[in-house]
Amino acid sequence: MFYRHLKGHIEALLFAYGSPINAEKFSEILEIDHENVITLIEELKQDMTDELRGLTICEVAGGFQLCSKPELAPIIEKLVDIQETRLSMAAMETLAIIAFKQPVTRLEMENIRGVKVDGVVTTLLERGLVREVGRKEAIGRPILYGTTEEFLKSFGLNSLAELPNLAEFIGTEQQP
Amino acid sequence: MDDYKIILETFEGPMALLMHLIDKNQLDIYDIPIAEVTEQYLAYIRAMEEFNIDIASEFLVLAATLLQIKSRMLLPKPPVADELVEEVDPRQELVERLLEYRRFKHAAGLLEDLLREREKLVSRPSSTDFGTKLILPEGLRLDDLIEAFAAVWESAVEDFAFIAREEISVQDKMQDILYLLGKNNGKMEFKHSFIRSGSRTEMVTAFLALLELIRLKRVKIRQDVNFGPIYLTLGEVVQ
Repeated sequence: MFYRHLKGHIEALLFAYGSPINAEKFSEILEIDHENVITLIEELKQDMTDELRGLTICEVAGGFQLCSKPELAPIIEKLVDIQETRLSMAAMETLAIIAFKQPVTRLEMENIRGVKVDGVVTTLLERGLVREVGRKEAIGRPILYGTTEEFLKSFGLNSLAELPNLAEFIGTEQQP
Repeated sequence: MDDYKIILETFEGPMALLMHLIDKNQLDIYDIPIAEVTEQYLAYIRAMEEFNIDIASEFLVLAATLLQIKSRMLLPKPPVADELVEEVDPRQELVERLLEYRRFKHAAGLLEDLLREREKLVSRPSSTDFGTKLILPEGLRLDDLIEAFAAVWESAVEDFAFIAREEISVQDKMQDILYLLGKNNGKMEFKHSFIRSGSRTEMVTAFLALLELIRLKRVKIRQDVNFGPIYLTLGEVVQ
């Protein structure tokens, strides 16, 4: 491995940026090819498994991000009062509909939930979890909603493909 | 009764309530005893009414749907004309909606779990703007600061003067005009009556005074061409 000296570079970049950085960006900055970036990150991750280390690299939204280890969460909570701004059940259900059925209109969400969704959709838009992705070619050309990269980050997903297939849920409904 | 409040379990919407009733009674979603469920559903709505809770119209829509299904199930089945036409259970559409709703309720739970897992990983706040550096001006001395302060301080002091409001009454102006006419052998040009500040206010007042004098027939006027000079002459004194 000729590029081992670049491991520190990757670590520094991850630290400085905070948000996930994708492999292409690393290739570009470090002037090494894609596979080598992945190998270096894997090695770095391996080094970090050491119990004495507090950080790890997680794969989020198609990139890599420096995070504290999950088992250390209780320690970090002592440092600051984490503001609990939980999503309501209504918002969560609506978000689930958007995530699994996207692109989807408000009317389609309302048909499933049986209630108006204007308020919750606004909340989700404000939180940057969903966005307008286009308009449906139907009467009134209603707005279609889909999830954002922020959604992937918030839920620790690498891509939408990581969402379990909705068909699996359908599978759980055993017809008698 | 009005002050008496009780906390009823609240539901996000009619589907949530219906789902709760089915789960609570451990009913088979594919074979809902519609009469029983409808009754319980309506009982809940009645309870809401009793406790002065505004019932969202959506709850009533589903209540109507339930009642409709119930009545359709009570009706005798029409003789099947065509053997091939499969009879549709009146509950089917409702069952499908419930299943869909339950599916997304599960999905919401799954997202909730993902969120909880993710929250255990703490990352640095995104610093996408750390590329911008604040560059301080160079070569400044303390004197520059004092100067700048002095300039601001001085500009903050207001230069002001009192401006008295000019008050000329129509009465005064009428007196003026009559006095001037008397002094000029009963003849004068209108513009010569502006003897005070010559302001717009005075002109307007003079004009009003002139109109008043004309009305009282104390003064006659003559203007030969449009926008030309207006000549005043004393009228006959009205007895």
